[in-house]
Amino acid sequence: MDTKWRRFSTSIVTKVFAFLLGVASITTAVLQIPLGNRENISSECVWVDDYIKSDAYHTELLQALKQVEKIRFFHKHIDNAEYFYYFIDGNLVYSNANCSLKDFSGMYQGASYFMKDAKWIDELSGEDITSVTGYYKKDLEAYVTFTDVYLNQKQQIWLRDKNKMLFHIIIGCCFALLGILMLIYLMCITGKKHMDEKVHLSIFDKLYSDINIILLGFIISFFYCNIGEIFQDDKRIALSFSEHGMKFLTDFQEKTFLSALFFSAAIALFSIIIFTLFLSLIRKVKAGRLISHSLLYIILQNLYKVNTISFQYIFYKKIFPEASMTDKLYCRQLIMIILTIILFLMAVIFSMVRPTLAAIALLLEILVIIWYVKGNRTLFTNIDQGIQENIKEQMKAERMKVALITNVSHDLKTPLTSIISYTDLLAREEGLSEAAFDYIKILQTKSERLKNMVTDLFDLAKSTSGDITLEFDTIDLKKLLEQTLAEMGDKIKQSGLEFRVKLPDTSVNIMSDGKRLYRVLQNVIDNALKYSLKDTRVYIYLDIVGNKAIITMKNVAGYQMDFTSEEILQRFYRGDASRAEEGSGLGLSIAQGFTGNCGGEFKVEIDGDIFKVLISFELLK
Amino acid sequence: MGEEKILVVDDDKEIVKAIEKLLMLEGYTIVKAYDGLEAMDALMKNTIHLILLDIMMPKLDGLSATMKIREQKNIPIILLSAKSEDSDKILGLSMGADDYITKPFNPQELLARVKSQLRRYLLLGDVDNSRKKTNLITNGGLSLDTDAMHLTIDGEAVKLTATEYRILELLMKNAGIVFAAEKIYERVWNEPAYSVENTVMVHIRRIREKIEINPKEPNYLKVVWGIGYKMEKI
Repeated sequence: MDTKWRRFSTSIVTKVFAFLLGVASITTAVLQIPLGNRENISSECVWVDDYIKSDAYHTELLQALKQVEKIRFFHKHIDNAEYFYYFIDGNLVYSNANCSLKDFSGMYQGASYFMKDAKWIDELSGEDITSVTGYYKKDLEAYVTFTDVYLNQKQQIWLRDKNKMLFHIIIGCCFALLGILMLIYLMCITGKKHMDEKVHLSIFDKLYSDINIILLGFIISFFYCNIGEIFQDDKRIALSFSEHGMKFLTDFQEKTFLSALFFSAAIALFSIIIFTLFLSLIRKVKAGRLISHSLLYIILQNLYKVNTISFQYIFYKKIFPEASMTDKLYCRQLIMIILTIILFLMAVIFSMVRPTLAAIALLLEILVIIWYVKGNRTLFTNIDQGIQENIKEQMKAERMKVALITNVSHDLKTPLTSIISYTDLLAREEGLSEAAFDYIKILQTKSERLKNMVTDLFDLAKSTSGDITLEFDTIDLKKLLEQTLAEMGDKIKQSGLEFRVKLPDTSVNIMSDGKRLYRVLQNVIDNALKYSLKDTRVYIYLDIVGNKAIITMKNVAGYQMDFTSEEILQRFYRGDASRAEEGSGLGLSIAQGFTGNCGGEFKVEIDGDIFKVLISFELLK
Repeated sequence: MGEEKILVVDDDKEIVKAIEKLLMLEGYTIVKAYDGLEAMDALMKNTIHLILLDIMMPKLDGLSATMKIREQKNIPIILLSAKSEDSDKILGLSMGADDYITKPFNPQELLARVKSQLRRYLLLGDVDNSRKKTNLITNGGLSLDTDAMHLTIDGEAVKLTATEYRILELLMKNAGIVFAAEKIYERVWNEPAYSVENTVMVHIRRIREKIEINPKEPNYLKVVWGIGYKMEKI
């Protein structure tokens, strides 16, 4: 039940319904104000029961009095007026009522004005009517009053208006109450969803809260002002038939329906905006983001952040924890800033008192700047020199490394040349025993192997030191593979292994050094030939995956591979621990090194007895 | 033989001795020198037909010596060096050397190269110009008589099959230009090429075995990896 209610109360349909109902209620409530004022009904009738006690009656009476005053001197009479007047100046009687004063007083007692001591006095309140003045004789007796028939009629209209007004007020209050109830309900459930207790923000909440508040205040005040204007306008109309009021009235009557429609649409729009903004604020309050998500707060926060950072840059010594040289820089910087501030203040103060002293302050400032720049220059020169020396040393070390490789290679190759040459000469000697000849054969093969190893070692050293001259060109990987396989055709045939090669139909162009890459493929295939299980197949694929060309070589190892793919790529690592086979053990390392030099990627994967080499290159576009 | 004098220059005395022995067994006369300056001296005093010159030597290194010798003489120079980079080879050859052998060398290969250079120098060096034929394509020690469809290397005749001859003719006529396998196939076989890399490569390898001293490090017929094949212009 509880969850059911919760699901219902927080569902989007309920929310939208409540929202619309709230807006409609508020609109209806506000609409009552112009509707109530529409027919020139004075709002006075709500709290004054009798017409003759109302301000409206007084106004009418005053109007009548003024009219009478206007025409009295011309001794003319107003016929068919709703009011009567009676002036007695000695024996002279001026009146539109055909009866004696006594009768007049008897007939029209009640709400009226009379003259006393040359002043008009309101009979009901007993107050002077100061707005109508004139020269009156002291003994002038005068009365102005409305007929009973007219007053009765007026009173009936007054009561009818009162009912109408009360109706509008009650309707307005009820709808306002409903609207407020809806608003409170929305305030409670806004941001909530049935599945959790979190406050969910909507897109309206992206508006910064201070801007929201300003907007809300602006709209409400605008709304209030305009409503108030219409309200006041109507009030004025009710009080006086001013020219403006009359015009407004006629306009209003002509367009009653249309303007009511327009007016309600405007109010509805305003209330929608107000509701939305207000609910957004409520959601923010609920989420605790009202302040943190305001523009002012963010600006202040950023300002604070920037300030702290710049503050640290200037005054916090430890931002260069490992650079002792910059310690000096920091000190100088600090002194410079402080001196500049002092000198600037001095200059400002002195310029008001004695301008010559201000010039001295400026001069001192220039000296400070010179001192600062000079200090910095020596520091920067030192840093520059340090860097230069560092680079020089690095270059020297690099050169030495390259020289070392070259020299070692030379020093190894020279004795090897002698060994090979003399072994050859020895082999040509005649009269050697069978055994001696065998020994020479062994010497020849082993010196040959030593030669290969030295060459390999040299290649590897070059590829890893980066001291290698590459000739990049657009090459076709497919062609290269075919060439390599053809070049090694005899060896492959001798091995008895079957090569299954799958190449794409089109050329596979990459940018690389063909000769080095040939060496890579040669080494990889050599490796497969050396270590494959007899009578198995070697698979070589060239595939295009995305923007990469991948050469895959798979073979079945002829022995158990108890090493990882990382280990096999290590220098001098040999799969077979006995190291009986010929070869330097550098083949795959060189292949990896050269692939890297040529801009490719070399990977080895071991899966049971399957040995897999993956060489990938980026395709040329 | 016997009258051909070879100057061997190396700062390593054992190597000089070994080469001396090796060449003497073949019947050459040897003059020894242990640095560049000695080599220049020996060159003045003797009539030398070929020089085997080490590069890394004291006093005057092999490359400078080569340049100096080339100012005066046209005799073949074979450089001996522990430097095995292509760039070193190219540098040596551009200085005026005729061949380049990397240490440690195979004695048989050294002999073959010496013989080849000597033959080229002695047999063809002068004769070449006098009987120059228009239909004779020459490149280094190779000369291809297109009339007789006949190839000689340093004066020695080499037997080629018809296909091998046509491939060689195409490449020699366009020495220095790289040909893709398909192009070679189309021009030589006169057929549209479809996956012919292997066919062409097999022929190239066979030609190389016939014309190169060391087919694994060819001087003339080179594979341009990933692109094609070319005849090096010498």
